Amino acid sequence: MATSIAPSNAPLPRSSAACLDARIARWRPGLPAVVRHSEIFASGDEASGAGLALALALDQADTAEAEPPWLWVQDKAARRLGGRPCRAGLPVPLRHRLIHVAADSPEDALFALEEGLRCRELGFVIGEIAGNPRALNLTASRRLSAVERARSRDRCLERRAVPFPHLSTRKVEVGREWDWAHRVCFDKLSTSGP
Amino acid sequence: MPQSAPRRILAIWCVRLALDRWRLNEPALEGCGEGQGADAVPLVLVAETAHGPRIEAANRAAQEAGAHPGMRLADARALCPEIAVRASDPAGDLAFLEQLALWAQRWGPWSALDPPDGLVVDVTGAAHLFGGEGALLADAAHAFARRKLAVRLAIAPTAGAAWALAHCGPPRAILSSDEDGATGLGELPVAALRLDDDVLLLLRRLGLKRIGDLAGIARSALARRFRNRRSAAANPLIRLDQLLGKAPEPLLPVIAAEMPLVQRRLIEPIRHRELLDRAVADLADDIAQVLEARSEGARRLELGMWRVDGEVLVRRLEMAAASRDPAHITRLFAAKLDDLDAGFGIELVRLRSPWTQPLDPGQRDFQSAAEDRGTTLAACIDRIAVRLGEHAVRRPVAYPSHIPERAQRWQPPLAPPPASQGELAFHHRPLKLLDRPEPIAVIYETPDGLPRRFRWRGGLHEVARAEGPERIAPEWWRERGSTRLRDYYRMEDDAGRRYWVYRAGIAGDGRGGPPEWFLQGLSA
Repeated sequence: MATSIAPSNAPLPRSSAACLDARIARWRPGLPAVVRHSEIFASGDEASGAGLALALALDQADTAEAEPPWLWVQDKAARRLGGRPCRAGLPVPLRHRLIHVAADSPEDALFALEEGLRCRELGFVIGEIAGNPRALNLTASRRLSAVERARSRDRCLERRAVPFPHLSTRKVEVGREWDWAHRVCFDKLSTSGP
Repeated sequence: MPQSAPRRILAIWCVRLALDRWRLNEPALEGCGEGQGADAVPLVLVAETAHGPRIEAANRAAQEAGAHPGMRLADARALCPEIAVRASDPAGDLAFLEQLALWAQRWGPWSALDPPDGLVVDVTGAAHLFGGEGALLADAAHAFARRKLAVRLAIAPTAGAAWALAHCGPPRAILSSDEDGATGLGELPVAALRLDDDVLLLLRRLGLKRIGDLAGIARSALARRFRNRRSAAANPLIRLDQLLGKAPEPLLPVIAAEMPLVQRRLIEPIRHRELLDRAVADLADDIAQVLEARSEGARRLELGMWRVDGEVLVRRLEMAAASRDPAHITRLFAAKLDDLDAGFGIELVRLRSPWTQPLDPGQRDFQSAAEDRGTTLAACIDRIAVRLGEHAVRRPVAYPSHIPERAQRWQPPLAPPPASQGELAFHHRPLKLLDRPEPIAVIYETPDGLPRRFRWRGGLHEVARAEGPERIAPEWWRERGSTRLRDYYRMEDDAGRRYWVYRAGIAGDGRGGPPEWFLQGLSA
């Protein structure tokens, strides 16, 4: 059994997040064009949830010419389990625009997420909260959606061409054993033009 | 290349600053000059020390009676029992000197303090306004005499030479720029070099009494004798160079800064939060007007609240970008006032801004339309930082180091990024780095082969694919010699999860036992 998987010295294919650098070979998560607020559940021992969130963000930001800053909020348990973002490992177009918020409690992280959603200059907001804390219940999730909707409605009115999307809290599961262990909130702010 | 005009420095030494201040502040001595009224009797200013009161300054009558600065008060009383005693006030003297430094800018564009009792004014190119340097000195002497301050004045090309002439030279001395400083100042005692007492004692024991005597000794001999004295006040050679203008001597100019300040005195002391919020909102409106008139925005704000029972509560606030939006300021302070103890009530509220930055007036209509769409980035960062703390909101920036955990640093989010070289694109780095690398148990081909399986956080991971090593040597200029090198591997386990692990050291490198493995990063 041990010999069945032989480690080889062949180079690994580039990771999905790294693939985002090259516009041609980019991984498209395949979700509909406008994802506004979704929750991704992934194990805390891997970075796939954060990678998927970044992929979703980049997927819809490609038409925007401006390079807005973005927010990555982590609570203390998420930092302890999964570590902090590494600047050199982020996709190149996102590297210099990251603003990191190190919150202590999930309540503080939710507060920072909500403030980030209210800000008009941020491109998108990623929140990373470990476990299933009491503060992050359906009410909090709906509250985030509502803030986002209040913001995006204005944006839609201003652009006039973007159809008003169906806003429901989406949930995406990554891997087999997420089991409430790690949750990455992904909030997309800037809608791509039609 | 045109030579700039030589500098001219005016040194002012207040000979009896502490006593003059005492006389000017004493109500009974209104209009009295030196040696008149209460100043005619022996009087000393004393400071408390561990061994009892010590004389800091003595007036002329007291000095004639035998008291001199540095003496114990008990000894002076033995000589002159009727001596009058007042407490000295060094902090007040320094504050007075600062005011005096601003006032002395009437003779030159900037001035600096020379504690404890001197001033330095740069009068380069300003003397002709008074009709020459001699007339300038006469004007200054007249102005100080009108304020009843005893001063000695001198003008010289360097601050050191001006100080020496003011303290030890003839009255109202002028050392012109084309005059050789070494000969002009050679007759002054070595005390004019601004040296510490122990160095002066040493020079006196060596028989060097005048500045000219130092010129008779080879420079290398002096340098060898004082090779361990780094500070300028302990090394006569440095002081000599500063005196002659061969070594630079930076001076810190005194600049008057006016701080925007608004306050509200409350008729009835307030004890309730709603009323305090109202007062803070009013103050924010006031300071916004003050700042707008100056075309400035506040970066730091201080809210002081004076309680009826004498306590002062202060709340400080720092903003990510200059702002004078009253609603924003009110909102940020609201988060800071939650743990306030008003006691018996607050009677005075004051808001001031110690740090401001230029901020041009913005278009109101534009702003209000934008406000409906959301807050600005600076406002968002301020709000988060007020609740989570200033160190919670950061931006990662690259730092020149090979070691991955050192290759990035965190800085305030709106600060300009530091200049850096381009990053090497062939180095793969993980998406996330653990704060502290976690030890893992690895089965691998010794001594330096690829890992096959590892155990981390209680789970067993079979290695499906691995890539490496990327060898990172320790930074010898920063770390101790026993630090081991690191071989980094990117690994993918059978479930497709990717990790970034390293082996610290190689077997047999002489820096400890068998190599250990650590997991440092997670990739997507």
